[in-house]
Amino acid sequence: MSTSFFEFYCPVKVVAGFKALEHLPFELRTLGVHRPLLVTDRGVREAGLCAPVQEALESAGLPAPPIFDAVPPDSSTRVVAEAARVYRERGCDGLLAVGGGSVIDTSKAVDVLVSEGGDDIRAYSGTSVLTKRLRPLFVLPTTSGTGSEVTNVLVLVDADAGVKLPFVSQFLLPDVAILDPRMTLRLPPHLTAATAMDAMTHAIEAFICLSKNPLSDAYATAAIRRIADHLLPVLRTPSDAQGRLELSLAATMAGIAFSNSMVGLVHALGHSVGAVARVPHGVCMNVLLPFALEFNLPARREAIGELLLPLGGPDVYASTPAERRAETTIARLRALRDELHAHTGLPRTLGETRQVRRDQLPEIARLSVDDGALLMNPLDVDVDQALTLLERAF
Amino acid sequence: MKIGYGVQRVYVATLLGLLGELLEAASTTDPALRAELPGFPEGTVLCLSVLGGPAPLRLRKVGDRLVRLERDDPAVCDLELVFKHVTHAFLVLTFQEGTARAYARSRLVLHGDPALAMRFVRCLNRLEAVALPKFVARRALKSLPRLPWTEKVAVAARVYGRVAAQALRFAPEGAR
Repeated sequence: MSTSFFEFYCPVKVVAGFKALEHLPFELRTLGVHRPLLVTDRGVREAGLCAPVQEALESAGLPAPPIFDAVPPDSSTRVVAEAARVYRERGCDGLLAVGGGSVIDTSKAVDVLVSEGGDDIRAYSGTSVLTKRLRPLFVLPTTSGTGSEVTNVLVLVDADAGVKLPFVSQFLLPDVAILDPRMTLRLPPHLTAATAMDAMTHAIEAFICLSKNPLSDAYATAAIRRIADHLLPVLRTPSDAQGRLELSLAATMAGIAFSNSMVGLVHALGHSVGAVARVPHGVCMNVLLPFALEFNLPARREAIGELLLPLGGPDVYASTPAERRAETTIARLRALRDELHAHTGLPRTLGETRQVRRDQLPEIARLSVDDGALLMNPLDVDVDQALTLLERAF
Repeated sequence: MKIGYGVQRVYVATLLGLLGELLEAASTTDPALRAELPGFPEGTVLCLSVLGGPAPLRLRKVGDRLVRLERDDPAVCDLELVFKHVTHAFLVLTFQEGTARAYARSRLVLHGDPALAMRFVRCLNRLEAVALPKFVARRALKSLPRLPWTEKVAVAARVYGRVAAQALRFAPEGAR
């Protein structure tokens, strides 16, 4: 018998679809939350995305929640300490994250501090450090990419040391994720594309990395199919609410998949490119995905070939000889990347980002081999191999 | 053949002890493993343990080498890889399964900084690559490193030689 084994855990209640936002008062009441701290960023607030949340609460007789809107794009330990201070001062009893990955991760970190105690979130960094359930956390994503609403991880910048701190624990899984198309309708095209490719990468790496399992595979392929079917139509018709919802569902499914099977080389490289050159995460994923798949081809030819079915549809899959499916999958991802570039200007190479210099590549390669994501990659990667791959992607 | 938990426990305890000695020896004799050591802050305590199992393997970074800790040393692990059961440790320590795959299959949990874990796992992988026959190492590792057999033999001889020398130094006088 095979020695294979897997675990799968996702206790997050997903509330998705038409008027999903209006379910929030009920969900708060169910978990006994009366005064949540609404955590967001100024961009989300100025875009008017907090207003429908407040209206949904007030229309159900709940008071307007206190708001913390000072979350930057790369949130830090200092921001978390400040938000936790506001939470305590205002006597809050739960958290409501309205925003993208940075807002959601900040909310998780605040939840750690207000539940475990203390002011220094660094004390809880690492894997499996948290010891108990946290205060209720409700997440309303305004992008369709990170999947952080259903994952057990958060990443913060250590404001003093300038390095990224990872946190991994089952207690970081939020309680409720609310997916309402109204929250992503006004997401600009380049962000729609970049975040969708982040989700695509989550799903693909979940499907090909060492921890893949039958349940995460099901979520991953469902996510890939949705992105392949809906991303370009949504870019052509940004007001397509159903398409927007499908992309949100895809990001959530990809999040569930990778939270249970982890990611690999694309993320290891992407984290390092982001740390050194400040390239947005979704852009890194879009650029690096085909190159990392080619690297992993010797170990994962069959799995990469299977992705042609959700990516290209049954006709393409059936008409492609089995031995060519893996290369065709990568070619289709390259074609998608080119179309996204044509529609939104999303960079196709590290050079096109205009943020990465060639002389930074050795440092990026060195950082990448210490990234925890690499542990789950099907093949080991040394510094020379990482550098070669980065040179190709430049 | 079914191997009972008792036998597995004895085997795992023995291998953890041997692994500690090999890592300590390799940290002074193998250039590739030594190249990983600057990545560990001074005093870092690395642990490999089994839930409810035998005494854990514990190593401390001291200067430019790794040093095994005595059982009664009160040091707290900075990085700990914990097998959930002795039978999971047995799979890895009989080289039927690699460390990364054991982690992927949730037989192993990680407490601490993932970057430290990556370096520690690379040390374990390197040791397996040089100390095990190729056909065994192939099962335990994701990728076999490019390692000429001359280098493999030379490094393995230095590592095992160092362990043997240490054993002789601490052996009772009559046994030498």
